[in-house]
Amino acid sequence: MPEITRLLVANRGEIARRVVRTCDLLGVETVAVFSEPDRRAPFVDEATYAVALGGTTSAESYLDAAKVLDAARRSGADAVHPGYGFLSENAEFAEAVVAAGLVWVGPTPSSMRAMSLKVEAKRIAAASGVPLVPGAELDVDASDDALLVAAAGVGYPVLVKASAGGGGKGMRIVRTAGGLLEAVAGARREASSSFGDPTVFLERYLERSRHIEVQVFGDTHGNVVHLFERECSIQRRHQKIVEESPSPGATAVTLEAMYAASLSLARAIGYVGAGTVEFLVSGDEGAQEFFFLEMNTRLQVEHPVTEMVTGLDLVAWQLAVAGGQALPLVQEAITRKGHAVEVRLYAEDPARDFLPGSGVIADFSVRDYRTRLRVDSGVEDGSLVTPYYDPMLAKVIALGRTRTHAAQLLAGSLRTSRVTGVTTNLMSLVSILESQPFLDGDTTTAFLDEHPEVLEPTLPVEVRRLHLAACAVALLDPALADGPVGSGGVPARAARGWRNVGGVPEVVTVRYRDGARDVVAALARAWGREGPAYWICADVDPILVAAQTIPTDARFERLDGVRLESAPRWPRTELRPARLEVDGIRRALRCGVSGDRVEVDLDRWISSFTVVEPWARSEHGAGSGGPSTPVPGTVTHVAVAVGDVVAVGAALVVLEAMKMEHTIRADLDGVVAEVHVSVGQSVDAHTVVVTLTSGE
Amino acid sequence: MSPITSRIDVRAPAYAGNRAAMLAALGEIEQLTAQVVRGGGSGDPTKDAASVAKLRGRGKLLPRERIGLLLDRGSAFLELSPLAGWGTGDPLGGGMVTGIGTVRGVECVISANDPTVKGGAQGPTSVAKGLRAMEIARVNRLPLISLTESAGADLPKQADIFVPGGASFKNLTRLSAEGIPTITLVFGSSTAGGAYVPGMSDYVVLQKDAARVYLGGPPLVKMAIDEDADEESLGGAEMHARVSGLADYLAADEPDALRTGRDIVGHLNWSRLGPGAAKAPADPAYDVEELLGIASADVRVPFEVREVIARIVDSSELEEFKPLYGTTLVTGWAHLEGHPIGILANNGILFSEEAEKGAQFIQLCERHDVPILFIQNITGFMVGTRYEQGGIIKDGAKLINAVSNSTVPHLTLMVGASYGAGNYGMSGRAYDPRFVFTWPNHRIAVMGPKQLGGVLSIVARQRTEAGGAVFDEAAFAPMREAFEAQVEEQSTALFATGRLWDDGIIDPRDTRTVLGLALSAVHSAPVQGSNSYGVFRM
Repeated sequence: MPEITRLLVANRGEIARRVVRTCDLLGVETVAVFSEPDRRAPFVDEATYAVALGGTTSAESYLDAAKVLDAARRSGADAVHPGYGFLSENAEFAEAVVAAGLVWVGPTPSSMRAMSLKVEAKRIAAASGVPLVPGAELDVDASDDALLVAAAGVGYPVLVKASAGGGGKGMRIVRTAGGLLEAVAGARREASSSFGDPTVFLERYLERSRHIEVQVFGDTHGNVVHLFERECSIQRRHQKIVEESPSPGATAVTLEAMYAASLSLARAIGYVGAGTVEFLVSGDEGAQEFFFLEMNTRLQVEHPVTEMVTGLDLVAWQLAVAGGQALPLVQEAITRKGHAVEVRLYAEDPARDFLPGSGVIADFSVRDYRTRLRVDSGVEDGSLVTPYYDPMLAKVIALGRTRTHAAQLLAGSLRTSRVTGVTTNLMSLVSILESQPFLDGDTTTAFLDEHPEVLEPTLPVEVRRLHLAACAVALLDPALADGPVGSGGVPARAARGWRNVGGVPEVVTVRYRDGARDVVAALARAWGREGPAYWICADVDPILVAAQTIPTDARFERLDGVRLESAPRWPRTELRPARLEVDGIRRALRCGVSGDRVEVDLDRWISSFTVVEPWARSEHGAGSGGPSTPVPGTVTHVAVAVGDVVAVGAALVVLEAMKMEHTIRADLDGVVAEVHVSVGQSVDAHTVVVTLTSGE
Repeated sequence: MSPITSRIDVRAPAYAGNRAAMLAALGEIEQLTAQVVRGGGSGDPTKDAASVAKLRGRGKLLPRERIGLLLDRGSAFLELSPLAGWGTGDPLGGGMVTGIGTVRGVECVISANDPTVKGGAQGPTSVAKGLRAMEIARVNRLPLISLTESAGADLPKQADIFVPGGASFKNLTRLSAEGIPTITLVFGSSTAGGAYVPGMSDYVVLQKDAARVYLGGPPLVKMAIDEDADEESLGGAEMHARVSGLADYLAADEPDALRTGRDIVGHLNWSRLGPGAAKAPADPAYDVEELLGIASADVRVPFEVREVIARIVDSSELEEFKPLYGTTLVTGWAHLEGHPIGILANNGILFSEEAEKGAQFIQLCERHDVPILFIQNITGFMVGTRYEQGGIIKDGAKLINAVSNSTVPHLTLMVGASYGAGNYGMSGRAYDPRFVFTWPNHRIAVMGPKQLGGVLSIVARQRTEAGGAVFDEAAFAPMREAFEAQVEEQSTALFATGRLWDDGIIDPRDTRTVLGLALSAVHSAPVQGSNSYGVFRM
């Protein structure tokens, strides 16, 4: 096989950068492909060449095999690395790559195909002696009774899964027979729309089990090795967010059996390249069982965990194997040392059902540390997170002497990192890593269901107090923020919200994230002889606070002698060192003010505050009294009747006036409560024709 | 230029006495101010609280809260004449809040009714305060924002307000004619005459389900034309927004109205026409706190006015003009919060030299377009044969001529006595300074109570003796004392501020900030001197 000299990476983000990094070390040129939204992404610049695919969505770009192949041809690439996701497990694409005379950095299309259909994969696994989760295949047209019988055979709770696809799509957990039929129907619909194949199957749902997977590697010379396991039990919506090696829960006996089963399966399909055999492990020491889940025929997101403990470069191995070389090491030569933990940093909101976020990342700095902390990121300062692709921003991996050491390093890295502009799961990750169940190794796939609180860490009371104090000064003391006011301005002291008539504090409300909730805090400042006094209230609702009641409002805590010192000018976009004094104690912090946003980094917590204007909850302009006639005229048509549901813009009544037709349209989504006019009726201008009630 | 050298002794008994007296006076003012701020206006805390609770119960905000939301975050508000109405029988503060604040970066005059005080009804003090706010808006070219919610005229006092109050509407349209925007946000009643406040404004924002703007309410309409009409049809916000067109904007609620007001200011395309500050501000070299002990508690005891200047001007630096001539009037150049100013400050009674020096100095300020700060501590012009024969009337006239015809902005600060023609020569209220602020120890009258009493006594003696009778000094004493007491009472800072002879009593320690804000405000209009005076009598 020819040596690879110019590799096209058919992917984006962190994995594209990851592959490029190894290629740079090996002297292999790289070709990046990119969609329109990714035009300025870091991975595009880091590759030797970059080819625009055009398009915005994945389907229009990274999933468009023809475009990718064309890019390979135009750039003179001699190999294609698919990364993970996108086309990485698409056997047809792999075949097309090979047919185009290029090297496919991945397993053979036949083994990809064998493992891509779950039912087929299980058949092969069973034949190779790999234990399977009790399950049942379901015909698409199976009767309800047949479904119930099949499920009873599997044993509840059962999991309904799509045969094609993955990523949790189409997956349902059913605890009793009552919910089965509906779940199967739902899973079929979702499978059909996501994968174009409504086939689903049942398997036993193993509660409190661990997700443990074995990294395998094969070459074209018939060698197959394993690179130990990774445990990836902590998942949200069936997607991994924390991965580690070694597994804290599997016994040595279980592991040896799992390695053997994995190698057996890989050999059975003549596996070439990097692959992962996934298992569910249930029970504890003494009575541990493991069951085959599936095999992923690609490099996994979490491969750095294996790299950290083995000291190997899996992408280099992939290239070597794809280039026809034998595996660099034999099984006995592969060892591991220490404990690696990886977390996935996502632009998502753990408190809002992991709603993906998008926007511009104002700042991205995640602490790495020599060989101990590794950051694989796809973004940098100013990167755009779009809704078109997976919202993963980075993986952060720590290698510790022990598991606890690794968790500490990782939590410490995250706590001193700064990712702003989009909501992330950063503090949730810290919270998981610092939680006792995690440190105890009590990690099952139910971890987040059993410990939902770890996703939404709340600020410690004293930290919250200081954060609010710093925010109050930063917002209510714009003179501090803006420095001396220029010529033509008002006096410096006067610019600081000064009042000659006291007693009515100035109030500002800010929204910030405190654990599960977006909280609105009220901050107030009043001038006194001794300087300004501040009040803070960590949680107010409604947001409009009566200023004159604040001094006596028990919800407000008064802070005296609050001082915040920073550089003469507040930084506009970055956090700068500052000092906050409250209760006579000075604390170092970092603080940044930018328009209506304040960020405070104190005590290893970062809070972002956004001003909530007092009119934030007010409608803009008053709503109308209802759709009304713009001019006097005659009603020629009434399009709705009482009870009709209408959407904004729906025609309600047609009016003829001055030989012109005027259509009066709904101004809100709602239901017609009353119709005030009829055909032929002459009406004045400003006559309300229909009363709509809001659909809420 | 070097800073003024301060020579005060903070350990001297006089200093301590002055300070104690000043703090006592400030304590009284603070108490009165708190009474105004709490709303209600009845003077009875329980009744006041009930009025406020009633307003809050309707989800409404107090006037200072409305103003707080209208202003830019972290910006200042200089409230004017908070104690107007003191001693007049009107509610303290006049049921109205006026002042200068910054909205969307534009300094504006803001005038807000306090609906907790007699429902926002307008009495004589309210009218005078409102007119004064309009005057400040006009002369300083500041947009005027009215936050309106008023029951209309305080009917029992209609005789005192009907005629002067009419000027409000004239002033609104004249402001508009001068290109000074007038914006009215209506949160409640604005009826009868009050309807012309929105009626005469450039911009009108009415709050839905709250604003009521009509000439005649349902009872009056019933009486006048026997029509049964409801309030909404007569003057509801929706009606004015859709039918009459009086409302330019319909606001959903109070915050929305305030947001709309801010948005309107935002599109005014407004810029200041004065040059503004000339350099970066620098704090005085001395502790502002010491101002409390400098001014004499007894206005008859003179004090060094440079000690005051040293604590209000930038870096305490004063470039004195003619320091060796006419020494009881200190004149010179300084900066206050970066703004260049000329200062005329009394260090005693005015003689011919001082009057001429002042007249000359004013002419120089006019030439250089520099605003003038008058610091009054003046018991009057010198009297006596020698001075009359020396032409003190002619010389005083020169000063009054220069003051009267000067067109650069004047700020007048009362730090002690303001008696007699000294008040006029030093740009007292009648001479249209842009702002007049007073310290609590300030006394204002045609002359000091003792002098007046003495004069009265002498005149009485002359009259008695001219009639051939014998003047009984002892018998006259109670009458003299009562007169002195009356003059004393009518010359206090509170009495003066109650009648809007000034724009407010200030804490001496706030002097620099207040004057800085005032200077900033005057620069909204062009700052231009004149070269046109009356005939100087030589």
